[in-house]
Amino acid sequence: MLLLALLVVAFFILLVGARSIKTQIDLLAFASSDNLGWNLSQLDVDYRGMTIEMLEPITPGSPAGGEVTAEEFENIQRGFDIFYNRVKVVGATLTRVGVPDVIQEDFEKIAIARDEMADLIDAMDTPTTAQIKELCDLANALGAQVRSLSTKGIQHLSQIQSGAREAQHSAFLRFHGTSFVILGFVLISCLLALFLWRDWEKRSAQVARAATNVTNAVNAANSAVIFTDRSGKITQCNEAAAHYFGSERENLVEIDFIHALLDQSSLSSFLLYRDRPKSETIQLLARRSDNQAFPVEMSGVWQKDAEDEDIYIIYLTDISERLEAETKLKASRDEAKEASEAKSRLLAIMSHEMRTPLHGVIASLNMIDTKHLIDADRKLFETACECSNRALEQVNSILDHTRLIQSEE
Amino acid sequence: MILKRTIVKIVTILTLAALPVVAHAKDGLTVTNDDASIVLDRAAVDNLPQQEFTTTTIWTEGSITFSGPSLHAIISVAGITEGTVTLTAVNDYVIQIPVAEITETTPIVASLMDGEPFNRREKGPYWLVYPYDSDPAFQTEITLSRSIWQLVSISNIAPD
Repeated sequence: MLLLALLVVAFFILLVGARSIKTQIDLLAFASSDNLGWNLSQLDVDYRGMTIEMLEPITPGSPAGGEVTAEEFENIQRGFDIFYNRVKVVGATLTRVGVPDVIQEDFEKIAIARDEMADLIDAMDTPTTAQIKELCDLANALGAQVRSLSTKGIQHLSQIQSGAREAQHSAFLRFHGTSFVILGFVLISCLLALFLWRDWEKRSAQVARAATNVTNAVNAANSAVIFTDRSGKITQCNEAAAHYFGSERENLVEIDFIHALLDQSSLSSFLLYRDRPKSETIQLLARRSDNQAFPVEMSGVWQKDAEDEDIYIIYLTDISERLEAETKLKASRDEAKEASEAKSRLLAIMSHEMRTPLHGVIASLNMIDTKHLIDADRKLFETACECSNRALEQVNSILDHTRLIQSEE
Repeated sequence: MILKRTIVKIVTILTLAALPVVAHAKDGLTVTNDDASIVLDRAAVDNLPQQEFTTTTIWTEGSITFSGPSLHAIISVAGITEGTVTLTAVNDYVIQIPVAEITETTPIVASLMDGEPFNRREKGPYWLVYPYDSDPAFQTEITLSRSIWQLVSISNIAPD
């Protein structure tokens, strides 16, 4: 912004300076004063031309011999008209340029005399030499003023032009100064531009590094990362996404993620999840390019892109293998559990089947009259009782253990 | 090229012969193309297509409306289409203008100032003028020096 402001200021100074000097030079233009100089010098020339024409008929040895011919009178009229007009032109230009009173007074005298002469000439039809002589006398009396006006006028113009040259010099000096100011602005602008350029380069490198890191991270991720716009159209995706959907990255761009890559059954779940963001993941069914469905675990987040547009970033993980492993694990567990239950059932049945005969044995032993037994038999009897009781205890213990395991399950 | 020039000359001579010629007429404007000359009287000048503009000049006071045929129209009457034309005033002031620098409308040979004819004492009867106020290009020394008044003749023959 500062750089722009500096350049704008420099531009304006240059523009104003250039316009100013142009205006000043235009004002000081010598074209009109040069023309006045020419007219002043011609005033004297035309005056002399007129007097020569007037002298012609009254000069001794004139071809007409003392008479004024029509041609001579026409020449006098023409010479006078030329002089008349020249006086008029000089008068107009003196008024426009502005001259000192002394010059203006000379001019006034000439103008008055010219008008007197005009009246005389206009009154003539076929003039006599005496009339021409009268005219000539008037013209001669005017000579000093004409000469004076010419010389004073030229001198005055010289002063004007000298002053104009000084003014031009000053104008150029001012423009020179302005140019240095502009040069300063431009130098500061260049330095600022250099500084900004370096800063911009540094920032660009940082941004490029960060962007590369992010891109590498996204591309290296095992999960698919998909950027969609608000309508669900894919704007960007990583390699994993291309791999998941069995396509090329560039082919996925511009595709409608919702309707092209999700199974019909998952649409409502996805839309619900997208419109009501949650932190946990959801499981969906996606479809590859060959239309084969596969389960995915998805999370998503709304973000703003560089243009402040909404983007929805989708993270997908193919959970086909995980679900398969879980299914296998569950089957193994159920198998083991069934085996354990069979074992428990066997033990319980066995224990139950063993306890009944044992109770019979123990009851039978208890009913035996031990008084008539000899000592050796008594010992055997006692051993039989002890063994049968111990066997019953063990069977009971197994039954209790089996029940405990079953109750825990 | 030579054939073209010859044809132009023949056509010009025939055209000039057909025009009203008033030798030495008052307010006459002599136009010369090589060997052929015509004198246009005021009526002939007035019959040409007229141009008009209002401008100030450095030789007069106030704005003036000038009207008259363009110089282009006048030299076209004489069949001058190339080269340089020489314009001469009553006091033998002579200027030269390349034909290439004469446009169809500028300059004009003014025969009226503010709608009125003007005599020799007022720079008449013909004054070559440019619209000075319309463009700074018409305020140069060259243009000012070409603004010849009391114009009496136009020719494509270079002065001696």
